[in-house]
Amino acid sequence: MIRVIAARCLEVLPSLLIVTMMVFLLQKLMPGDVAIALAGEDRNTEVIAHIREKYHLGEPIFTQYWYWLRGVLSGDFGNSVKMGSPVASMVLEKLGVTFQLSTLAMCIAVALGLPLGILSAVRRGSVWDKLGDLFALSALSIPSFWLGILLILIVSIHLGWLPASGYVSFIDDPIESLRTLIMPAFVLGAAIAAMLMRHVRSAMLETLSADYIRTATAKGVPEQRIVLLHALRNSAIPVVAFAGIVFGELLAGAVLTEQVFNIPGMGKLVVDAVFNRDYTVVQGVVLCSALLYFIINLIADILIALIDPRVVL
Amino acid sequence: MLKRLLIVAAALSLISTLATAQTNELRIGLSSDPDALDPTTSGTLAARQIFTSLCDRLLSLDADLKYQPQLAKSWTFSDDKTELVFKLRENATFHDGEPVDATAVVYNMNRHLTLPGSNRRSEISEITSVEAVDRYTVKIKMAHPFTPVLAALADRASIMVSPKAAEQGGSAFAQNPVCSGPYKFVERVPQHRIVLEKFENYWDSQSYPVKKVTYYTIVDPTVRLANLRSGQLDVIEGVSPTDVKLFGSDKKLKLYTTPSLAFHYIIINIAGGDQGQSKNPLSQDKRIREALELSIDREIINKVAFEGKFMVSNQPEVPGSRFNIKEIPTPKRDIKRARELVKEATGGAGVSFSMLVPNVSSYQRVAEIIQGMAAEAGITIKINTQETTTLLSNWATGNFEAVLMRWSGRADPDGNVFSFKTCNGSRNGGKYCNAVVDSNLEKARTSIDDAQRYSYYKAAAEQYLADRPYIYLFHNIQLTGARANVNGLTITPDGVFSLKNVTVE
Repeated sequence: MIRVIAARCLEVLPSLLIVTMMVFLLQKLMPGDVAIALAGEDRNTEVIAHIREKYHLGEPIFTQYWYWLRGVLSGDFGNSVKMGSPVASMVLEKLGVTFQLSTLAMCIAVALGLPLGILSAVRRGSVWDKLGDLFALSALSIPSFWLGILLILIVSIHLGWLPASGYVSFIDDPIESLRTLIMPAFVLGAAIAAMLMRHVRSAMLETLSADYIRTATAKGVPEQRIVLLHALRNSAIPVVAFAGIVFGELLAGAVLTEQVFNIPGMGKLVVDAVFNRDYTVVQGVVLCSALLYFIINLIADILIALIDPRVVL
Repeated sequence: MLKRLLIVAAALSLISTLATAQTNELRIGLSSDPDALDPTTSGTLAARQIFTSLCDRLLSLDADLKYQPQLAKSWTFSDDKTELVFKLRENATFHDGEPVDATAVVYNMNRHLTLPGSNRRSEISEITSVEAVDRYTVKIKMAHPFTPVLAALADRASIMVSPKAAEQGGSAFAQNPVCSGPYKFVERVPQHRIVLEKFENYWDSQSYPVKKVTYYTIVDPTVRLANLRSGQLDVIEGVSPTDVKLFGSDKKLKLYTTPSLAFHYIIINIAGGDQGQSKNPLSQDKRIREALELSIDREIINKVAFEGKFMVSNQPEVPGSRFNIKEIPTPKRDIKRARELVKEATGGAGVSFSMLVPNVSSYQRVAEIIQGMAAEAGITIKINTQETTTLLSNWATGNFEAVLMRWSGRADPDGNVFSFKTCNGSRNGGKYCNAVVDSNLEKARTSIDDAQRYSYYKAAAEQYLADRPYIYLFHNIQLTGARANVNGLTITPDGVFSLKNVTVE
């Protein structure tokens, strides 16, 4: 397995190179002068000229890309052209925040989506199934921005139970960290729970109609054991693959949720960087996101192989 | 029994004391993220908010736009007005313990003038040399009298940073700025918060009771307001005019309304780039520009888009201020005359142009109202919404017919007109050029007598307001929200919060 993982790691390198190159080119194709964006409100001509020279903006695109790549290969991701801070530390800092938020959102999604999906499948056509459908439809239809504002109004302003926004590191204060992240994680997790529930439901329905389940039932194996041990394990493969993809997406940043709850995560970082034409930050985030996406999906593949021995990596 | 009563009384007294005790932290919600915290290279309004608490300058502006001493105790011009002598206070130190003396001032002024990428150089470019006369006296020499220098020095161009820290920090100085203001830098989490704590050795320390100030960046006004209402923030900038009613109904909140130097205006491309003189119907016939202005009802825009909270205006200077040209009042809407002008200019065919508008809802509201008004005069406006960077690039390169924009305003009128209207002005994207305007604006910046300056600005305004390369619409009123327990907050017309004597109960 280690050889396979090592091979996969090598395979990802060209993908990362292509992704960063494409994003770099796309950024350069965007309208708007980077130097003007960075020169601030004063837009002084001398300052604009200085920025162009400092960041090699007058040179061909591939030369600019090479400067960036050369830095990355030597371990220097450059500095944010807007703030001057090192990109690597900015991305790592935001990654920690996004990782906490994503993990909590995934926990909420699994806690809601998994039992609801199982229940809907096992009690197909019952009131539980209908309620599950209603939950899935609502959670997928309500825009996260609106749900976030609504939760802030009710939970923070009227009830005063939780902080309206902000972020506290789990290491600094675990309780306050959970208090600040629970609402945004719920907003993110609810929509994922709905999708997860639908995936679990359809996978379970397929498994529950399999011959070996019928055999187990005929042998008098209790329903609980059949569902949780036999059916769920065999339904887990598409669910784990889905969770891997979603978690990877979450780590790339949840822009709207971060915006509403003022969480300094990856999504906010990359959106602001795009608007400010802070290309070094965009490149750093894209590289990091692509890498994480690869790692998460590799982990998902390993898990699938562990769940189902027939799957070969 | 008596003992019990005493205990109860003591407990009640303690509770009462705790209830009215001043908290030591002030949390401020900013509407945008500051750029690098280096006063020499910084170019954003948000950074000015931070610098006001973090860094002292030679002189400051008060709420009435009058110059007040800060690091300088006094200042005097020489008789020929080409030299400016500052006497420094002797008890000021930087946050790293280094003294704020004449040597430090010379270092900083030279840094502003020579650092590559300095955004301050153009503001004080008339300064030819800065020298230390003695330990606490600095002399600034200029090539010729240059009145706006005081306004520039009351802004970021005289912010002093620790020379030692600046040298050690180099290009990374902005990540750990060391100044001499009432609060010192603690940490910055980009796009989230900037934390400052009280500098106990500040020369006026007793006037700053708050121990810690945290600035949070929250771009969305609804989210910012929600945080104020829930008590997560104590002060927020940029309350949306449509949310003002809420402040009347919530006793835990209060609203500050401060006249702002900022103004909104339409820039018309007279001769810039491809879309200047040759293609733009607005530049080809000034009757169309006049018709456009006459078709606009500024009062209606103010009522519909801003709940009547802003000040309608036809000039860059705030109505009622000393350099607002009173002889040229804001014209009323005259749709009949506007229609006649369009008919005269186009033979009844009407005219059409596109207007760039930032993708911000308040701008879009204003643009749509103007679009409707102009249509009644036979002027068709195609609204072209663009995100800010693209719009600014198009404006700078002359790739536009008209653009709706905002300028944050400067205390001295020179900062609001010179670079916008002179032929070679750095902010003259529409390339308006008129010898009368150039000459009068040049004279105004070298004249030191207010009455004389007014006459020059009046002569220039008579010309450019008739030519209409810019159509001014209104001056903002700065709407600042605060919790009711925040006292003593003052907001200067340049949009900056002063935390002097601010308490949080």
